Amino acid sequence: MNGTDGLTLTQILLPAWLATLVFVFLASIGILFFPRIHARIVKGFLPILFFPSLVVMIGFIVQGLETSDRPIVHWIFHKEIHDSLRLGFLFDPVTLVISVVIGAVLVATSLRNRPPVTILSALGLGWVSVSLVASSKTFWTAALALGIGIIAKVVPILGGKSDPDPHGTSIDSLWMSSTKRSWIGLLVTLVGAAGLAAHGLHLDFFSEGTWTDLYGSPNTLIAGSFFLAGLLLQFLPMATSAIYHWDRPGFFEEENFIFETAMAWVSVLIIYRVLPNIRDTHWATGVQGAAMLCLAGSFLGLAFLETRRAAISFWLSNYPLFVLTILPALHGQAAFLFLAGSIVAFGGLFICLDHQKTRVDLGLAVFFFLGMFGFTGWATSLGTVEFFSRFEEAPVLVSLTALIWLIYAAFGFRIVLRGGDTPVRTVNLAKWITSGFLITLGFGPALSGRWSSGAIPEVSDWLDGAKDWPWIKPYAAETITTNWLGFGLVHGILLVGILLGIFVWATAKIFPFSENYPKGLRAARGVFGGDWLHRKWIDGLTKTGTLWAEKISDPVWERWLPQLSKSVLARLQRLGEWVEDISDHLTSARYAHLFSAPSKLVQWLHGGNVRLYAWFALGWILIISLFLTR
Amino acid sequence: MLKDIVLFLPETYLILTSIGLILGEVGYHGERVRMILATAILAVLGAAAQLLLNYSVGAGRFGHLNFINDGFALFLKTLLLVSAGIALFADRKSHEVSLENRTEHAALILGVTALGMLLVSAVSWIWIIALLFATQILGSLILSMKKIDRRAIEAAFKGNISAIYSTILVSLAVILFFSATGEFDLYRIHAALIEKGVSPRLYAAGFSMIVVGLGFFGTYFPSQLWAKDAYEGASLPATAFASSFFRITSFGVLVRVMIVQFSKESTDKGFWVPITAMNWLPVLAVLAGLTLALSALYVFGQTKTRKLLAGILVIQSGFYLLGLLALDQVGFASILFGLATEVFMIGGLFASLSFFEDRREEGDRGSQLSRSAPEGIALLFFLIAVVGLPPLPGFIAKFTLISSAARHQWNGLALISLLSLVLISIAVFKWVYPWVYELRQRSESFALSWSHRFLLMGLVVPLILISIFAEPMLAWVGSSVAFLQW
Amino acid sequence: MKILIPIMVFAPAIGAVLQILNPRPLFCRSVAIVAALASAVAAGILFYDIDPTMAGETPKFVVNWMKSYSIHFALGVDGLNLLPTVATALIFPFLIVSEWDRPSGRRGIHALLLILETAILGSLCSLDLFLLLFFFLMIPIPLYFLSSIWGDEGRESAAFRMISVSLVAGASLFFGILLIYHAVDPHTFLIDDLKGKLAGKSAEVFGMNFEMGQLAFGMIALGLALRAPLWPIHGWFRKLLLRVPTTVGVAAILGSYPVVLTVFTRIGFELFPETMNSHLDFWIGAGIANLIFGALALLQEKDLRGVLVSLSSLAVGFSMIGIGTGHQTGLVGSQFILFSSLIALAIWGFASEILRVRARTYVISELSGVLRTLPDLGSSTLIALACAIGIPGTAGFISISLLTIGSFNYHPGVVVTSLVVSVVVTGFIVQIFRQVFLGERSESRFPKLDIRERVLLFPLVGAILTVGFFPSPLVEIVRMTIARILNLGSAG
Repeated sequence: MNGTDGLTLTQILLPAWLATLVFVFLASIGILFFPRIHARIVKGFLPILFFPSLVVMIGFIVQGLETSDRPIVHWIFHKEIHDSLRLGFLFDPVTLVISVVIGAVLVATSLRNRPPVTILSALGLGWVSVSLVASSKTFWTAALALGIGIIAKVVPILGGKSDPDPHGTSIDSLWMSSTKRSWIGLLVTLVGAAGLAAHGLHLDFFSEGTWTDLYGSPNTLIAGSFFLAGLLLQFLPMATSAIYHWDRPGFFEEENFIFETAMAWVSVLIIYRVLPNIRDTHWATGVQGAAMLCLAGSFLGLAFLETRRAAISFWLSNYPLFVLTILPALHGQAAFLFLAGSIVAFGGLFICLDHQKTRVDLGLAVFFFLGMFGFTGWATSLGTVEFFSRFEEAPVLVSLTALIWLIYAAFGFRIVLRGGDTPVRTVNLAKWITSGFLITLGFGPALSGRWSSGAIPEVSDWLDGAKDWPWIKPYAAETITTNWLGFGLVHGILLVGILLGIFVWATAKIFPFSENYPKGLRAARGVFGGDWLHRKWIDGLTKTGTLWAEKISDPVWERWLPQLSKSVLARLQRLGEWVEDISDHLTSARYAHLFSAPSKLVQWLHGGNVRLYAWFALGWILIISLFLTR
Repeated sequence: MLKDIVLFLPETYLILTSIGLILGEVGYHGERVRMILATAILAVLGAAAQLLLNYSVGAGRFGHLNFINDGFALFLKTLLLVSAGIALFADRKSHEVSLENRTEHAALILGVTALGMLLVSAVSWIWIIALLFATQILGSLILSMKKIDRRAIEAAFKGNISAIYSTILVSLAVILFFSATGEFDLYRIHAALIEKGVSPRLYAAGFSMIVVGLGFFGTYFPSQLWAKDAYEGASLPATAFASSFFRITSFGVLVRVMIVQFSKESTDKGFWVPITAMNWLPVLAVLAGLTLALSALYVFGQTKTRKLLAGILVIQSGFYLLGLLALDQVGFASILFGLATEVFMIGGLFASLSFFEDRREEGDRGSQLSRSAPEGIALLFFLIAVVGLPPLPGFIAKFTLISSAARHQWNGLALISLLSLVLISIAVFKWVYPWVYELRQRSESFALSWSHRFLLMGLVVPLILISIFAEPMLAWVGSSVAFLQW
Repeated sequence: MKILIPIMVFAPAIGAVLQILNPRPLFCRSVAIVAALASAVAAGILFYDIDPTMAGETPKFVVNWMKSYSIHFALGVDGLNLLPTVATALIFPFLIVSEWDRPSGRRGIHALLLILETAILGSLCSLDLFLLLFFFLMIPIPLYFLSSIWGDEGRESAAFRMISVSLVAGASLFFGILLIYHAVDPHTFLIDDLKGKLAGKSAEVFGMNFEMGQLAFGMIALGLALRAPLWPIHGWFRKLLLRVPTTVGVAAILGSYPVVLTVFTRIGFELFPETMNSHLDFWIGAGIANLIFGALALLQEKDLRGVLVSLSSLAVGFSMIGIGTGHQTGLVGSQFILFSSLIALAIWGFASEILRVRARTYVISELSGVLRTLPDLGSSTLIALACAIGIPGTAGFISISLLTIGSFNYHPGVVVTSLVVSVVVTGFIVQIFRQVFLGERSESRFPKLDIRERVLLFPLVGAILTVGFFPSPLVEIVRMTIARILNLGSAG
């Protein structure tokens, strides 16, 4: 393939990829301006949109998955100026996996739900922002992607209906709260990045050297914390729970992707790219801690949602946060596999969770659910096993993560079992194809490049430099230490989570499915002695949930905050008007009165009395001559 | 002798034509074609041609050493001729002036211009006093050129009164100097003052009397308070001609007297210094400052058109005093440049204003400008020039005058002049609004006769040329000042 | 290539003169648009040809105008005034187009707009103080006639206030320049000759003796501050824009802060570097005051045209902060914000004009649900607002990020305040956008945009996006000049 003097595939791959991204961007913006055209191609819009990118991806696989990138191009200012902002693009396996999975998932859901044009264009923009981040080498390209993500959030309102539902929250509020959140997040990140750039840190993703001098001066400390806090702010579904307290018909998968998960995955990718720089520093553990905190916070919101649809969306939108609980601790091959695996699992769940409880649907959902938690055989298992096998090194961190994972798994499995409550749809061919594709992709060896896991010696690996796949015995590569404890812990969490999911949480008020499984309920209480969970404690939990919902979350977001902001705005408005009046007087015409008094005096002087002439003249002659002879 | 004839030629030619006109009027019995305007204009053009002849004759004294033919005088003479030409045209166009006595007006204008040209080149006091008195009396008569109107006659009356006062004062001063030096010729008085020296009291009294006397028609401080009454009453073309005529003549005499009699050449060429220890520059500075401040305040309070314009006419001399203050060649050049631009600006402004005033029925205050767009644009054009805003030469003239003051560290005075410019421009823009605000609706417009267009073009084009070719204009003015023979 | 500058500056004036001389309406309309386009094309060629490394001399056109007063007719385009000039030349043809089919008085409004364009371009490009004064004083005159003839009721007091404030500003500028002219020994007006000669000179007014750096610079700064709607003394600007159709409003904006801030940077950093650098925190304070009170003003807007006023005072605030940093990036940011805010304001102006034609009102509360009926108008206004706030992908983002970097170097506190204000402003702008464009559809059916209105909006939206993605050619040129000016002023 290479060696021909002409343009080799690798050389033209990256420009072609950028061209497809620009094409998708322009097409999604363009479709807004020509609504009539969309009517004709409504079904096939996204596939047509993503087809050229698919061709490029296939090209990438054909040329051997070799990362092709361009040297970093300076964007603003000359290279040698220390605070110059730089652009850089690349196309590597991470880009491939993310673009393919997200693309396939979006195509499947859009073919199934057939959303209106604004939602479709927002999906296109969301995909562009995710793939652009995946294929960016410097933060500033990623910043452009964040910008596109925000535009994607704004687009649905261009055509969105504005019928307010009982809670008084219309699509605007959906748009308002999540866009505001991501806009503030973006701004905080930009300030942080600008601060870092001002101090010579080029934020290139592949530059060596950890950001040790991040502790150098208070400014960099502030800038660094701004940078990471902004990214974390992108995916805090808990902070805008108003969305999930409201249930309306429509395209909840698409809206979930546009308003929550797209920006969340963009931030996870940025943090993944920045990983080599912040590995083994306090920043990494800081991010992990923050992610855990937020996840715990969102459990409260999660536990007490009335409708299954809201529960699915909320649980899924917390998934990136969940990924971030252990991603910062991993590195190299493990990090890549964990990230890629969780993207695939996310894709699968995204499609299959809203199922009708048929056997096949349930099986698929369970399979992807297992993949999420690093069940052996899944690509994610390498990362999870490696993290949990560090129990001795960081017992507190690992145990806390295990607890959080346990609760998350419990909720997850409850939702997996229950499925969604959308009406039965026709069998959707696209959904099955995509699920099949995702299963093969999620399969450990596929992603790790050892197709035959070394079993069939002469088959060449399609991902050179890959290591053997740890079927049973924990993986023993030089850099990664995994042991049985980690392996056991991971699968233990899974098991306990599933059991908890089925039985113990039967009495949770949200999902009235505890009645459907009386036998299971008794068994769980027996095995686990559910009784030690005093009723009061569960009721307490329920009460705090409802308390949180009625007394704090709703009033805060629906009544208290709006009133506060309205009163503040009104007062500010009065202040603005008062200031405008005051500053208006500064250049008002009343200054003219300053001169009116003297001009009246002068006019009086100008009396036309002839007799005065001479005396006045003589008077002045006297004054002048006296002055001259003084 | 022959040289005298040649040098007196332009004035004699004008006087002969005015006498001819009067005879024509006397002998008139009903011919349809009167050709008054044509003859008058021909006279002016002829005089101008002869002036060029004087240029070639070169600097020198003539008329028994009573007159001088130097660049300064020649430049002022050309200005007088131009303002006379404009006045004749404007007078013909205006409806304010009754048609029957057009010949008297033409004759009067020509006669006054001839006397003015003589006055400007006169060097000995006798001739200066005589010509001053004659021009001022006849000039005031011009002010009364209007259909029978009490206010015009009152204006003329006030003009005569001030003529009498100014002549008395100037002649008193001349008597004082004659008693001290026994001379009437400026140069000889100057020489005598330097050798013999003179008692400071006498020198001060003489100086102040001359300054205040010439002020009557130079319209700076003491007399500026009442000078504008004359301008309010008279008809528009008459006011334009009278104001520029009086200002040119009185400043011509003032500058010559100040330079020749009261100051001597300082060390480096082109700079003058007051002769005796008595430094009279602060006096001029105070006069200039008061003129500017008081007339600016007066204009600021005005709303009526005539009073506003009269105030604006009066304030111009305040600026020329700034040029005189500098007592250097560039200062005088800026005075002459200011006078040149003023002739065209004031002429144009009053011509277009009379066009509108004549056609306005009583009481309708609506926007006039839409009545005739070209005329309206010309009016706005001249207004902006008179007020001294770019892009017209008024701005350059005002700049040169103010910078000549600033050159000699009179920064305070420069600040006052700038503020007064701001005040009068604010008043003018406040006054313009009723003329402009309904320009959107197209109301029927007056027919614009070709001769009127010609008059407008004749005024607008030179203004534009002056601003573009400011450099050659300034050079020519500079060279004519250098002519001054001390 | 040098001859292009006078062509760019005087093409509109020639167009205006032809307008006045020739009464045939159709001919006049085409003459107007041809003149404006000629100037825009000349600006484009100048921009394209200027070599970014600035190694060669920047294009200058110097001719002796009045040798005896050493006044030169010096027009030049360098990095500093390139951006506002290109923006002005780019926007004016659109102004002419937006007045394309005004029923009465179209010839007058086109002529006055063209004269205004010459005045603005002249004052931007002039390198001679007298010429700068000449054009600077010329700007308010056509504006006065534009506002007093084509304004709504209450226009007389607004026009009168505008002209009196501008005259006072012109007088103080005149006095400052006069002092400079007479302080230098061989009197000269050329800025290049005056560089560095003004340190330590002093002038005496009414007996008191003032140091040149204070008096002359103070008077010039006062004059400029009065003309740019700097916050406390911007009452006249708000009153003017609230009484005038938006085309004239946008023209007034073009004549106000871009000219003033470019001239302020040039005179400040080239003639009075030490005064400029000793008052840096004052400029930043002024900038922040402008930001805060601009945001407050934006909140209490009840009229679409009022939004123009508050957005322009925001742009002034950002630009003053840029100047205040005295740092190279900050200054580049301040020049860039001029460019991006101008285009954003122009689009908002045209959009509100289009809305007025349909809804017969500028008042925000009477408009609602416009987006349903005019999606393309809504989207272009959305992009314009995004550019005004500084969302990535638009030209505004480049300027905001440059300013943040510049001010971060100066003091992080500045960044935090500007961050807080821009978040607040985003909230307010979102509020206004929702009020006008979202909400339920108002009952009146607005006709679709016709070709003329699309031509008004889309090219400018395209400009914002292209500059947003490929800013480096623009930024490079400005940076080189500012580096030269700053090194000259031995600062930054």
